[in-house]
Amino acid sequence: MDGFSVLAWRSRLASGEATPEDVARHYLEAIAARDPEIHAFLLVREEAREEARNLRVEDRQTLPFFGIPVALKDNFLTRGVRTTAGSRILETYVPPVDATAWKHLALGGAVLLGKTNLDEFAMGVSTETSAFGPTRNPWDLTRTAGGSSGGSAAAVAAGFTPLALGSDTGGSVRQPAAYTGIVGFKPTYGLISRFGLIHMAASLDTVGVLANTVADAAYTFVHISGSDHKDPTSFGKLPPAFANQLAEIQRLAYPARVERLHALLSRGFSGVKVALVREFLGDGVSPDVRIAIEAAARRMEELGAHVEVVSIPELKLASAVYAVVMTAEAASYLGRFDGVRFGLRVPAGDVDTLSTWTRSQGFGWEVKRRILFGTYVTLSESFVDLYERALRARRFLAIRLEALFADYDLLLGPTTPTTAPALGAAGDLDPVVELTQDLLTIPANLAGLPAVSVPAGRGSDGMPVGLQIVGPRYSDLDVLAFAFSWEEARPLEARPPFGGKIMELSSREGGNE
Amino acid sequence: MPLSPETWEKLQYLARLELTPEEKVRMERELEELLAYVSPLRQLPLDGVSPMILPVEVEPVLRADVPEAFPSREELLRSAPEVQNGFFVVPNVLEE
Repeated sequence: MDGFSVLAWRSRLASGEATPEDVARHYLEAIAARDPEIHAFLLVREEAREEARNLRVEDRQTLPFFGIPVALKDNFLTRGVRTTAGSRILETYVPPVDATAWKHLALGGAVLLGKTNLDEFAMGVSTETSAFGPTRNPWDLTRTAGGSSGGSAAAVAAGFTPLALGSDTGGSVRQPAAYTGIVGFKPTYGLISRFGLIHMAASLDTVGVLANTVADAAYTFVHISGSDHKDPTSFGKLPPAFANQLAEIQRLAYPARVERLHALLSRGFSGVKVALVREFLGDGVSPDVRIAIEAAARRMEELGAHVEVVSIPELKLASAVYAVVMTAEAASYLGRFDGVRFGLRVPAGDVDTLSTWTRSQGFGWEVKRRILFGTYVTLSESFVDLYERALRARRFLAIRLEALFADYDLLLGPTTPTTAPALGAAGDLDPVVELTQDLLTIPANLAGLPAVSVPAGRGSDGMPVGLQIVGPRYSDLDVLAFAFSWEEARPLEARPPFGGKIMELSSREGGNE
Repeated sequence: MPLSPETWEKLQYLARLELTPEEKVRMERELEELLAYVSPLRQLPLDGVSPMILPVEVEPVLRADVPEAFPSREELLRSAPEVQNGFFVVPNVLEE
């Protein structure tokens, strides 16, 4: 698996051992062979091969993503490349700009392989609300790959790309990463510009990274983070120590940057104080998941971490807070889809009717429900009782979490209550089902905390279990370092066997030549 | 808490969404389910806790208040459903 990581490709590409075109071809062939059954992509770019060929060989040492293929969740705007957000209303939309996060990678030499499937406007936990059909889990095609960044997660897990970006509003990067046995990282709120990301809920959305290894996720995060005047929430003022660390890694040229990054991440467990959150292991969490996470915690203890079980009963209310805040923001944001400036139009005699018909035909059920609920909670008669109360409850929970970080460095728990469910088990069947699937990931979004999901083992069904590590704001590198140490320390049976699938493809490719 | 017909009309108008009678029955049930789901928030002791709108309290980055020309007007208009002479076309909004 490590041979197909971003950093392994980076090193072969920098030395000239591999060419960008070889790499692009390898992944395009993998996609052509297996994506018809998985459906990770909404759009595959054969042009990637030519673009890879056109990279200037003299840049191979200095560009940090020289020739690295990237897949983007289809809610990242890509100039000249169709972007749908998984919705009929944007089925033919071709953006005039690039999302800043993608622009950073493109300027770094990355090659865009394609756009990946997602729940409509990122609203869902299984990609089943996508207007273009669901993505299947590469480990078991009868199961969901999770959502809403399910296409990005499946693409990495299936060996279709070494790297993908997603967005995480309530767990949409971490949950599919857990279901597909890969790494999913969501940074502190505000560290990566969301300019060019089609929002769901602006106070919760973060850009996230999906990769095979923690080091790849860290390498990418460091590269795409930073202030952007086009996103007022991408902050300029950071805690000085953190800002210096980030700036130093960003500044160093390859390969020193990778070495410095490794040095930063290789800290081990010794002396780290970890809280295993009781509510994260409570009702609704399957025995399989609980056993895997408790085993991981014991292993960390053996290696020097100090693990204690703590209880924050109010965390159970996080998804209720989320349901109100997220829908209110989504309803407001989606107001721009009016059939006038972009996307679908259903003609009518007056503007109001035109907008109403366009939205009624263009949006799917899940999106309509969220718009209506979000509109309801912000009506003047329910504003104080629902919306304002939820905002106050949000601070209440954030303060509780903050208090915990006075005593503990990190919080630990499963990423999801179960392994990947069967397709059809989630979707838009029940408005509350998805809230329970995101129960363990939502608190980090409400409080703006960095969190990562890293494979911890497998359930009795053979499916991967994700371990979630959450830290205080701006502890992004600590969270990643802890995950990195776990990756190094976890027992063999907890290591995901992606290698099998990827090697199979590459040996077939070799056979063709 | 069932939604009154007036509230229901207002919601659909504000959201610019129109549901068929069957859809309305299902949606109403789901909205009520969500309302029940969020009602435990009333149990929290929130006296003196101020609303949290953004999770990180730092000065936001604002760009200078200087107009910028969009680099490609043509690309911007390309995805509009109807354009004439560089303008978005909508049905007549003025009385004859």
